[in-house]
Amino acid sequence: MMNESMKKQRIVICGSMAFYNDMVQQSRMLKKEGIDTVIPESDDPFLLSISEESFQDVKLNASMRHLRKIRDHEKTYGILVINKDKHGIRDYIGPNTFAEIAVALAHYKKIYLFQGMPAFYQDELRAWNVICLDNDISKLVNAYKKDMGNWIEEQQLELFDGLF
Amino acid sequence: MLIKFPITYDRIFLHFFDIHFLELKGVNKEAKSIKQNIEYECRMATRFAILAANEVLVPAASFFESEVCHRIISEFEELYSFGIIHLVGGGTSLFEYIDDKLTQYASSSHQAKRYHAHQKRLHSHPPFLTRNNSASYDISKGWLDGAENGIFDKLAQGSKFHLPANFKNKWIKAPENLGGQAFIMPHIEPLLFESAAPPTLLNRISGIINEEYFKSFTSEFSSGVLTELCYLAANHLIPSYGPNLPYKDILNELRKNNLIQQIHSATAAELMQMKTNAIFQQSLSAAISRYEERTANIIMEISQTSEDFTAAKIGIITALPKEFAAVCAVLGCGAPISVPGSGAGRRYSFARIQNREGKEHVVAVTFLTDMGNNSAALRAQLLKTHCVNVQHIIMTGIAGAVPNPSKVSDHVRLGDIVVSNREGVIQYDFNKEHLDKIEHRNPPRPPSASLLEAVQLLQSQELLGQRPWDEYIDRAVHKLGEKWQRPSNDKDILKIGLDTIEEVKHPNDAERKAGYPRIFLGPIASANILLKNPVKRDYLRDTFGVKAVEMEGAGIADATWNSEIGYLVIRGTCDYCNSDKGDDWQLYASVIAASYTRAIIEAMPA
Repeated sequence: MMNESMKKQRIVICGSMAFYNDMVQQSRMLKKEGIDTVIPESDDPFLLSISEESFQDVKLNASMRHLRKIRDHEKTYGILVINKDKHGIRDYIGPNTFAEIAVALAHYKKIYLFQGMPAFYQDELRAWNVICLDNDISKLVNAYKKDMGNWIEEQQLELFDGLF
Repeated sequence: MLIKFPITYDRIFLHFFDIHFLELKGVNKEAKSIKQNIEYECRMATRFAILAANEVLVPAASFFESEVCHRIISEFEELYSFGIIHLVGGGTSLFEYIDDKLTQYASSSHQAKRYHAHQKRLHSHPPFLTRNNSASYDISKGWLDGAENGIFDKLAQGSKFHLPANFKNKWIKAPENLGGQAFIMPHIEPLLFESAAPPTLLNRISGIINEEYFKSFTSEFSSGVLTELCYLAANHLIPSYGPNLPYKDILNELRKNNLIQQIHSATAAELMQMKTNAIFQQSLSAAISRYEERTANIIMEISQTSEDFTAAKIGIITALPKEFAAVCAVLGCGAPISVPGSGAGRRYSFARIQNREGKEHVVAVTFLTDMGNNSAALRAQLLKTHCVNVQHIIMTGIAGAVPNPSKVSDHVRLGDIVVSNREGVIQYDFNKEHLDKIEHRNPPRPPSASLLEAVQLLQSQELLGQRPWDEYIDRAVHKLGEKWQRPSNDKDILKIGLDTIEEVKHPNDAERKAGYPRIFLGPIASANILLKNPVKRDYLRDTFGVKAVEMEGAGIADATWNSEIGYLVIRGTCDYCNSDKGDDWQLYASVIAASYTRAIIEAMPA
């Protein structure tokens, strides 16, 4: 159930840069369903050649911006973690993404994994009620629409309450 | 940190230019940021390879089929005549290569169009290096090996989908059903699935094809690859047969030294000058040290947590390359993995074998750098260190037969299998030597009860007419080729006597199955001696009852005794320890020992 301050919210997409193409694809799929998304900023290749100090600043700022988007109380509904296989590891979640999941958890955001439950973190992720989509994005879409539908219904009922 | 100058790699294979791999990464998508990042990474990775390696290998297919590859490689046109960059592919020339490719693709396909275009104006390209191996053959082989070695469990691992009915049959028939078409996902998918398949499953199958494809090149040319790629990271491991170049670490080190832009914009000639640039060499050295340190830590973690290293409870040690090859073929091992560190004794191939109860054994297979009991003991100890849960070590390979023509039930012939029994291994050079006599002091080292129990089980089944190892022998010989076949019986010649050497007729043996090995159980003699002395052989037979003579079993027995784990020695016989000792039977003997080893593993409870 959504709270009163909630407006139409977005999904923040997370994951390794190896899955950047998949992030873009899933973002498009969600947009077709009327769900706004945010994907991580891709590196500007020409920033890779700036000085070490500046580069670390750029990386830090990009990470902070993404974390702020995840924890945004009003705008963010939840996160979608793209966790396909990587380097032979099933359902890969790297350290950065795991940290992003933890931030989402701490701010009561819904957490969806695009593929399956990674063996490496399964104890933690199960306890955190993370939802595996097994490649089926419709599970997320349905849950989102149900919650948003409830919220819209509540808003409409409140309007009627004022009339009677 | 130790800086070594100059650092050069023999060969680096540029796997990431493969068109199917790039498509998966989104190179054809309209999102500009993806294309830009992928092309940047391809370009920088290529430049790192040119800077670090003596030779850079590019699959000819990538050069002709992928625009990105063609564009980036063409930036180094002035290096073509120096042989630094090579295109690699099948056929005796590029013309033949292209002709062959045109038969593999439909004329309307993107690939066919590209090959036609290049065929018309084939003027500027890196020199062509002809392959001895065929990528299609290697992919098919890996594909079929996978079917025998638990690939279907791996495909669905951790996922909720199930494999479609009759999937295994379709998988096995797929290489044949391709009918000469290229072994790529668009051609394979319709052969496996009648309706839409789960995307994760398709990705994993695509990963298997890519992995075998890359392995076909890196194994043939003993080359390393670019690892630690960012946007171009693969869903599978990239099989490598040489030192690797860690992309992200190199990039980070170059950034510290403000060299990235210089490398990115360097002309081919400028890049060649940079190869010996001290700052570049320092950056490369630092990157490699960092990478090795990190992967060493990862392997340490892996040995505690990951599937293969921790799951392996059975280890197999072989002495000779032919023995290792036979075991890998029979067990369907994956590509060798090196444990980081220095010195030899760090390579393993893993196999997954289902036992009779349907449970899986993970088996670590390795080999010695040299023959003998000392090397064997050391290697067994290292195996136990790297694969901490190993409980059984099997020494598999060839040995000298100990014949006994006067007693048919003990008459071991060439092409037979000898398995150590409860008396284990007799170390016949472990002696106290007096002036007038030699006292044998070999310590008792019985094999483990559970391995002997598996041997007993196979024996009892043989009595019921079941000999699963025969099928593995047939399959392995088929897979490995004619050279590995059983030599004809007229090549099994036993001679006795010292002054007057005469041929002995082998006794008739009703227990033998024609064309297949007879299995013998008994003690096996072992020493650091290559025995070509039939008198000593017969002495060992009469004194200890040994049935075979070899050079590693005692080392394995000591090491496993020390580690408090079990061992077994399985030997295929290839000579009679006399002056006639030759190599004719060695390949076949390697195959039969490996096949019986597989049967033993299947008979072991998981």
